[in-house]
Amino acid sequence: MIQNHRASFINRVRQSLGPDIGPADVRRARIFPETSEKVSQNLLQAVQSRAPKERETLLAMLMDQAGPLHLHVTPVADPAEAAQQIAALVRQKNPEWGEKKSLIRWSHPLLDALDLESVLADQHIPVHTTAMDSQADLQGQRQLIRENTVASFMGITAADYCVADTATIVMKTHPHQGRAVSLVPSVHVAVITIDQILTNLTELYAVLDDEKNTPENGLTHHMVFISGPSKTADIELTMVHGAHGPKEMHIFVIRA
Amino acid sequence: MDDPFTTEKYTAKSRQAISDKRLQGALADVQARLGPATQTMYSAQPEGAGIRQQAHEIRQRCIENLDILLEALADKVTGNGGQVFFANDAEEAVSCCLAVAKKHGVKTVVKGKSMVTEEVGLNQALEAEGVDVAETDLGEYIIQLAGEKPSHIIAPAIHKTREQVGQLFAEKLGIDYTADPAALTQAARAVLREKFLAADMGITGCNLACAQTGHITTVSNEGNIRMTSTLPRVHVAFMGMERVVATLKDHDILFRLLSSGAAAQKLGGYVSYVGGPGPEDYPDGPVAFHLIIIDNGRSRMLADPAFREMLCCIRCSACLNVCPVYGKIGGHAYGSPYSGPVGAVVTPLLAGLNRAQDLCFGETLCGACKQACPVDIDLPRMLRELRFRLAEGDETWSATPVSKPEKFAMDTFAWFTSHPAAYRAALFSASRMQALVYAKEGPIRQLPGPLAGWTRSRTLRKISSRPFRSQWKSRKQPS
Ligand code: SF4
Repeated sequence: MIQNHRASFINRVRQSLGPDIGPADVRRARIFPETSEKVSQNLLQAVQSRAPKERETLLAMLMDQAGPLHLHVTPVADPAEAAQQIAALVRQKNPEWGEKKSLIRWSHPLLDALDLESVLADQHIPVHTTAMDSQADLQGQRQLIRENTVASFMGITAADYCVADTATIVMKTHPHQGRAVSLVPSVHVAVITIDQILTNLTELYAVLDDEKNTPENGLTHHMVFISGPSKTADIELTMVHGAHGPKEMHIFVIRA
Repeated sequence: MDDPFTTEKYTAKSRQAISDKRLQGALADVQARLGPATQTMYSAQPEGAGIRQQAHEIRQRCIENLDILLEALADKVTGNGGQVFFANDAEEAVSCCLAVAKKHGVKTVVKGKSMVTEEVGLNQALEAEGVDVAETDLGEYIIQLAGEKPSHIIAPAIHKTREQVGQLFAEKLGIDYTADPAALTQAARAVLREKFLAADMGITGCNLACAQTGHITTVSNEGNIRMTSTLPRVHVAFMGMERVVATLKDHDILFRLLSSGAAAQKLGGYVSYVGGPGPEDYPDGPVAFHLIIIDNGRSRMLADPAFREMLCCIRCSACLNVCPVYGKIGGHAYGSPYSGPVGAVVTPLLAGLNRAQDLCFGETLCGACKQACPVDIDLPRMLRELRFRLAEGDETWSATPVSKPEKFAMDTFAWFTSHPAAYRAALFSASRMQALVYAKEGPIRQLPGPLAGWTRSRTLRKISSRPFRSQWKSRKQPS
């Protein structure tokens, strides 16, 4: 393996900063402040104590922002209605690659509650999940999950948060929740609950900042923000949806 | 290793671009669409119009603590199971990547758009080792198929018409000719999907890293960077050493500004945070993550107080979209992965001042780039500084005076202006002498000998027979 020059590299950077920069630990304490600011504390409080009416306002704001991004947001009363809506989508849409219709979904309590397996049984649509059994052959399971994800024309996920102002869903990477589910299938459906909606990015970052040091709920090794379907304007600045990722994206917001 | 710079061809390529009518239309179009829109986006931010200055201060503070931030970032990523490699120069960065590819038996690579990999000449090096490399950003893919170079930081194929892309795809991908952007995008989607699924390794850049949490972040609208960093077993990210901020809060502001500056968006379509490889018992995601942090001349900028500010740049390309020079000569003339005003400053600093001198002389110093820059970087100041160093010569940058006669002429002029009597005498005799050579009325159209260059594209006014000083004296003072 080739030589890594970390120490000399950092040292050169330090030298280049000049003689007056001051001791590293003093600067470190200054640039990484221990306590979070009062502003973000207030933001967190606001998030936690949000009244139902305010949540509805955020939902309306999300729908407004989503429109221009070609992102479909549909409020639903409960998980059962979300499942019905998804079944309707499955019926309407045709697969982009190949003939067969199948779905891939996260293993997640909210999605388990939709019971898509039974709802889609009459359409004879297989519903795969990305659940892993850590005791069994990992390679083999990953391989199978990959094949199922690639074969599925629709991917169903939950999310950690949703930001109304930018119409963004935020997904950390948790066990049993495949990253490719929101990426490889032609249609991505995210199911969230209304209390997951935050106002704007500043609020989101206050929440993330608060969580960053908690081991079970930290930022995880990978996190993605998604604001609408895949798009490109690389040919004569003409907007086309579905460059590499999903061509279509839906969010179902469960009110109850 | 391939040389990524062709800055010597600046004049020739500029001429070519200016006479290309279609290119002129495309450049005008991209500037009209993206230029004014960014300003509106900045002032719409909750922080108000002062956000650019605020962002400048954040970036400055980060750069002044770069040693600490890089250590923190590297510690976190390593702690998360990732590998961090510090590369002093392009060659080290490339050989590190080659070693990783070799270790994992990599035959095929997919890439997300990354200017820094262009800077170090990565693709050619991988190809020389027999690795198949596919660019996956649609614009980059088009120019890779065409065997060309990017002409804009975020819209690399902006110089190509839909008809040209149609012909290219018909020829290279064997599809029926079409000039419909949607159909062409679909064709590329199908081909690249197979590449994503087959690739052994994904290579991306890094838009901005967050030291405190230990993540690098990438943004794309197409989703190609997500594909690149999700599907292959191995993910390698290249990062210019300056692309790091301290905290999530800094990251929030700068990422919003990056999205506004780059594409007049509130937030790019896909923003990914990568802090390390995923565990084997997760359903997908790479199981190896390598971060290559590159100096390649940046510490020299850091050490020079006049150019340190350049490291605040987040490569958003907003300055390209307002620059009157870029708007005429396009990206290729700059002969570097970095074009436009940012390229005119950064390319000489990377490639050598003398070698890339035309770039900083070519810009107009109009100041539009500073206004458009989301981090309020004073590019015009640095352009002037580069010109100064080039005029005087500069040891730290191994720059020699651009023109010895010109330097001599300027030094002489400086001497005369500080010696009024000699100056008056010289002016007097010059005005008498010019009457002998230029008898005709009107301005001088051609100077003699080595001075002819001055009048090649402009005229020169004659020296007045009565100097301003004496005209001023004889004027009646207003009462
Ligand atoms: S100089 Fe400013 S406007 Fe230009 S690319 Fe860098 S950050 Fe963007």
